[in-house]
Amino acid sequence: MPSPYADLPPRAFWRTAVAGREAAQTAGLYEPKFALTKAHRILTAGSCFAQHVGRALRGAGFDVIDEEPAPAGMPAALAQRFGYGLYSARYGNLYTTRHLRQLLEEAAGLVSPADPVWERGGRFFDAQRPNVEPDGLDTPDLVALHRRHHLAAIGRALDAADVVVFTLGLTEGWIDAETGTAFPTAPETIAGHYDPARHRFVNDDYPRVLTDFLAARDLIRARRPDMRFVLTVSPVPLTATMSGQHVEVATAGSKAVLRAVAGHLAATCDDIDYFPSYEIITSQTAQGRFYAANRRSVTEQGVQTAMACFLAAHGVAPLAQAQAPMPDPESEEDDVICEEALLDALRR
Amino acid sequence: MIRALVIGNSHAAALIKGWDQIRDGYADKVDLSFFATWEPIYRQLGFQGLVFGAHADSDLPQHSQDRLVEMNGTAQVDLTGFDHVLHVGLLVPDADLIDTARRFDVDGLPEAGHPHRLSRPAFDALVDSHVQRPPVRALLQGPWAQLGNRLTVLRRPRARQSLFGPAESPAASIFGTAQGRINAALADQAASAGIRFLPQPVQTLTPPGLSDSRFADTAPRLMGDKTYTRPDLYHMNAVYGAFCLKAWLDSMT
Repeated sequence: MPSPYADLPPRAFWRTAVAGREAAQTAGLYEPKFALTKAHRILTAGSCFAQHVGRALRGAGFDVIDEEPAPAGMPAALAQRFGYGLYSARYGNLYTTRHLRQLLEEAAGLVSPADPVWERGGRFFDAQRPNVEPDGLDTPDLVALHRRHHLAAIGRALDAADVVVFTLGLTEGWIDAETGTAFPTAPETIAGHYDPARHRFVNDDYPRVLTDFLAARDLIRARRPDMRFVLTVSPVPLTATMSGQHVEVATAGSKAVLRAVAGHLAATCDDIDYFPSYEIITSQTAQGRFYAANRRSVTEQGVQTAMACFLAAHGVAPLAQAQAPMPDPESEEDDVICEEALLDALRR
Repeated sequence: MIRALVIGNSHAAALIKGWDQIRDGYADKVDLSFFATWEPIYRQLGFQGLVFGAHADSDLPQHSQDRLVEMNGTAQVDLTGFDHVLHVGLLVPDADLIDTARRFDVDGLPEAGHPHRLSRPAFDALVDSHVQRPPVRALLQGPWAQLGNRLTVLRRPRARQSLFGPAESPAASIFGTAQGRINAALADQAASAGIRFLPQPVQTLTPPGLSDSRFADTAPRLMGDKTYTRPDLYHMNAVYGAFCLKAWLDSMT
């Protein structure tokens, strides 16, 4: 009997598929489970890398939903500062599946997050998305009013969507110890007041990440039974870890959990696909060249390489790169709104 | 006798006609001249020293230069000899704010129950961004600034109230609030540049701060006897022009 490896295609072997390949040659890395066309309406969410995904899809002519659009004429930088145009609604970055699940439960009227309003300097912030109003609002009541509008927008986005593209970003996060309410950032990072007795660090393990995503999927499919999902894992490392480990080791651990969950979901669920942007950016083939000088931010070239692979696999040329707003190379690292990066500022 | 010049784009037509209504009151005080042309031509004019207009090296097409001369009797005007210059029709591109006023509720302002909501900080930042746009920067930071406090700037009139329905409509309130904020920012920037800013006379505004539609009737054009018709949002008539001129002239005489 010949070896079971004997008839495998070249893509199955490291020497032929990787050793001699240029980083930009991504053909064969991704074979979509289902076709994505420009007729599909796409909802994007996830960690800050998902902003790149949404922008590239929009630039290529895909119908990316935006249920909380910026006012006409708002300059791009200003819109980004206020959380417009980043995702399909102004939920900001959803780093964890725990947060995604909680948001969907809240939109469905199943939960009300604890400690919903954070304060800083006499201004009030939505604790679930403190970065979308960087100057805060006048009163807690206004925060609540804006949140009601936001949740309604999420409902409209879900009802309109055919495909959800979600980027898993982190396993580490902060919760309200008594209620389990998840927060997207640690209190004090943007607003709020850190209380060790109230705020607890969590580092979600594989079962927790998986359970939360499946619950989120159930909530979405309760509204849209035919919804399909494309998962990616953010290649952006942790800015800081509370795990006690070295941040590089903690990053590897977190990404391994997220990658394993994504792989399991794609392998076991017909409606879930996995796109390997994480591998394209982080692989040995890339030799780190898709990272900026800080070895954390993904370069525009990296994003373009990953998204070109995605688009080509779906039969779409990334022709509209020119239509998508191109970041200033000088500010490449600052182009994506990332609360995580604020931790860096705190460290300085 | 004060030598004064009104210079600008098509919005100067209201002041040219308005001058006919009030000139007798200033007969022995002000010697007023005009230099105006359509905006597409106006924005291609330039300075050589204090001489403004189409110069020998101008890229302005010949037919446009001909129009300029036809309207003014000259292709250039020397600003040196004028004690005061009123620049009329500064364009603060704000059509997008009409869309915002119609589609968004804004914190602290009357609401229409729109699905989209804008926080006050986001609204203020959006409005402020309009004052950073090229036409404004070009005027306040460009060669016009060399005139110093001899120069007064008058914006293009605000959009007509009738565009937004009744005065109490939320959209009118939002747009009017935006206009007030733009004016305040313009006044600050003009002051910083040593230039004077002439706000649109309150007599021509509705309570929310839009142009009273009565002043849009029979808004004259720069050439001929035709007037602007209904789809036009911004051009005003001779009565409006007279109010503006009076406010400016009375501030200097």
